[in-house]
Amino acid sequence: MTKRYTGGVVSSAVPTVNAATASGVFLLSQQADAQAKNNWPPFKVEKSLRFRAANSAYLSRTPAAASNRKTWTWSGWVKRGTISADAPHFALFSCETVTSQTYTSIYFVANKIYLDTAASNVETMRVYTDAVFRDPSAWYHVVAVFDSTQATATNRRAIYINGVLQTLTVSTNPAQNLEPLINSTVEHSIGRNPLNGAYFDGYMADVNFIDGQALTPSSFGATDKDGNWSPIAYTGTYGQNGYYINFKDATSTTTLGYDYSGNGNHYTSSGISVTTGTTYDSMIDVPEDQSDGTANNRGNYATLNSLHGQSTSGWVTPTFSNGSLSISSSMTNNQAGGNYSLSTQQVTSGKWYAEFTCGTRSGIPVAGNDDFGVVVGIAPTAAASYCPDIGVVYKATNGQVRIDGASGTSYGNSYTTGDVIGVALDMDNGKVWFAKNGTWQASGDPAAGTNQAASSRTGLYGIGLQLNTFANAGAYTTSASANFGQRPFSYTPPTGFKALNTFNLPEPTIKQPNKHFDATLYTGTSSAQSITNAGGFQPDFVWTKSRSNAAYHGLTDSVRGVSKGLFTNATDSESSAADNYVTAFNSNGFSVNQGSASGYSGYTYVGWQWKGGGTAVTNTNGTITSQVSANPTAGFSIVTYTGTLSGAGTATVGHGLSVAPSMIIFKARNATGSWPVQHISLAANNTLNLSGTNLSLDQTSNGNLPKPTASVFYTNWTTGMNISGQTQVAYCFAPIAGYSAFGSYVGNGSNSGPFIYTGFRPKWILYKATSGSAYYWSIYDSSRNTYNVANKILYPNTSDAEETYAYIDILSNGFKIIASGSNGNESGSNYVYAAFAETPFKYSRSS
Amino acid sequence: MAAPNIVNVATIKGNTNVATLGATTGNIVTNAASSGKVFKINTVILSNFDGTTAYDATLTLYSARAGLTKNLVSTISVPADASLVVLDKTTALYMEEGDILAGFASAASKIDATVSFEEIS
Repeated sequence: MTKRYTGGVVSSAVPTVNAATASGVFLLSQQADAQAKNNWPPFKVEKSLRFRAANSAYLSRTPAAASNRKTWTWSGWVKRGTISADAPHFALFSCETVTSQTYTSIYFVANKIYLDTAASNVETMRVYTDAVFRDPSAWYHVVAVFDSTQATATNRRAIYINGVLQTLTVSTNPAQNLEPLINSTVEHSIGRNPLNGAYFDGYMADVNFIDGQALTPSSFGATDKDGNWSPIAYTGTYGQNGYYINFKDATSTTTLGYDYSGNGNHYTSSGISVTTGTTYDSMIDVPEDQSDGTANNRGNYATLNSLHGQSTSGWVTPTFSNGSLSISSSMTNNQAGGNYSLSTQQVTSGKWYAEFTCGTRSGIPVAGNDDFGVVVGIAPTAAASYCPDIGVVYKATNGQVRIDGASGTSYGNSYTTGDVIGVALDMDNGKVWFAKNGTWQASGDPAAGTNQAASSRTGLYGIGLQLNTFANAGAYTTSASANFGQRPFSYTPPTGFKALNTFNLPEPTIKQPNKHFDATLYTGTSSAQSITNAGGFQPDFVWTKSRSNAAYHGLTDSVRGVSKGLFTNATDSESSAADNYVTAFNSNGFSVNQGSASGYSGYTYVGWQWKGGGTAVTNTNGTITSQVSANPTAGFSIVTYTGTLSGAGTATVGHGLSVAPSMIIFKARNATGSWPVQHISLAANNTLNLSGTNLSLDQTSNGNLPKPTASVFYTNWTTGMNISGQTQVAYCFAPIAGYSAFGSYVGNGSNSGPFIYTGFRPKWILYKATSGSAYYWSIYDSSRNTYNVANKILYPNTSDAEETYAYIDILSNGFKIIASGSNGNESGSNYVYAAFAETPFKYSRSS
Repeated sequence: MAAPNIVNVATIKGNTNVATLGATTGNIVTNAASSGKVFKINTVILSNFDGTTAYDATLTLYSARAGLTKNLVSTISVPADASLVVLDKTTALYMEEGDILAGFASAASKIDATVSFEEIS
């Protein structure tokens, strides 16, 4: 058994687990965390290896002697680079005789994971996941298990992702005692499928192969105290041809393939480089955050986000490669439209440093035209954008900076192929600097905070590249390579500036979102039952909806009281009926009894639950006194009040949150009427209607409707918002970084639709068109959509049962529309959204 | 002499005691009865100097005022060639007159204990 820790440093400073030296000084809290997941002493994945498909990178070994060909387990942490919808096969582990077309392989095709064997090109096993895996922003843990000795065919193979057994589509199950090629004396490859010459593009870490045992993911990973799947040390035996390759020794390309199982089954690398520069493949991009005593530290690193920049139909789509750290783009003669890419991680605070190496440049636009450039900025909401509208570009051709879409202004030196451009982004002070080959331009000094290229930067910023913009008369080709610190920087970052990775991202206020919001599935019984949420919190607002049957939505909150329902699919006033709707708010969930909105026998349901502030208190901040149950930590409050307006006008109501809400849902309780919705992305005086398909509605004629403040929201004489004498409820939602997000996007009418960065893996997503074709509101949640494609939709404005239509991917840092149409991606139409987290991105696995 | 009121003290001396834990309980830091002193324990580090095997350690605190001995940590595992910070300045504790910090390990002569404290009088 390999010993993973050596040394024994006693430090006078606060000790840290040092992955670089594995010194082994631990705090009690670290021991508690580690023991909680059976991982003491705490095991850390120190490095990963980048596989550049474009360089035909792979590792290989031919066993000297065959061993157990009936039973084995392969485990590895995988982060995808190039994402392709179709072939070629991105192989993780393969064994093949090309001439006879006999093989066994674990690979991606069409973004599904296959476990495949054939003999003389006759399929002997082929199973593949129902789920697609095309999230490039974080790590997957992949475990593939083969055991043909099992009596039951379905027990002879399994694929687990992030500890979860996957549902597989079966083309062919293996015959009992089948002996495919793995563990034969044929060459075995990691990262290559020799049969079709296809190579994996991305990163692998902590790869274990167990010869002769069929194991479960619990041998290689465990759930940590915050509920996140994490690597642990494998402590079992490996078998004759088993191996443990951790890629930690970058002394040479030989040592990178060393086997640490104790077997000495070293793999030989090909197409791998440890030469300093853009091709350096030994990375500190790893699936678990850890301090390593350097400025960078280790964790999941940013790459260029290949989900960005896929814009208007007909525009150029850039090509990503080399683990999404390289990008290239070519435009033809006089082609319109360009493209850009931002980092997979975006920030609102902190000081960050990254480098970009300028690659090929041909057909360069004349000086003064927009051009290739290093950029920091906010991802544009519009599809037809080649660069962030809000942000700063340092242009290659003339060294100008272009700020927030304005014309370029003189700044620094031009740059070209081979130059390394440094970016220092200080979101604490809203400043940005650029360096060329280690020299900060225009006498800039990021450490001192002086002579910046631009200032007053606020919002959610990414770091990336503007590629092509508008071609001259002739082809225009650009390429570049990014380095966010996963390989050594070419130049020392300025003091106080960090690499962009999950370790360095700020701790989210809410580490476990299911302590404040959850979506729980249950089946009605037409009798009393308690529904328990996973987070174990007492909700104050519960929204139930039958999935299986057409039935009213049911909304109940603790301020209005139990057994009082409101219905988003109808204009009905509040209904009060014993044993209907939510009948109790419990310490770990809620109770229901009967009624189709919440508990009819045999109907399946989902219950969306938000934690408020418990018993309501009187709030006099507005011109109308309100009763408020507020949970400022999670940015949610329930507000009741009585309308005062008898004609056009404006009144304010206190909401109990310390920040301005970004979305407010209103309903009159004692009167019929619509459900007005205020949203941060709507124009002034505009609302939406949750019970209808209406586009954005201008309510100016009912009085001014300014945006909410940190203490009050505004109402006007709109039905459902403020009519004299009508009792009202308002559900207020404010954004909390890592927990909730509210914004907008513009559809592009493409099956590769907009990517929306939320900064967390969403648990719940609501969106609605505000322009273009009127269409339903749509709600997705990951309790119903346990894997991608997320295709189970409920519509708040109808009583319809759950519908199935493949429309979005729920990702580690946001969501991406993957279909076109008026539902959520009509070209040029505007959409607003709201999302609540399952996991903050800092801790998220790919999904 | 009574233990000092630490709002108004005359002397603060920095001390470090080291001990190799035995298989049975042995004292590491003792604040003698009627010493007129209070000890503020700032750091307790256990270091397993065996290169291959993890060993358990138990640390106890005898409170003279309570007349009781209680565990500070119990059979806590210290990995081979590693150190465990049981207590640091963020979790400092006071030892009153007559109090004793003691400990033992699952095997003798495998784990060193290093205790840094302020002797306040």
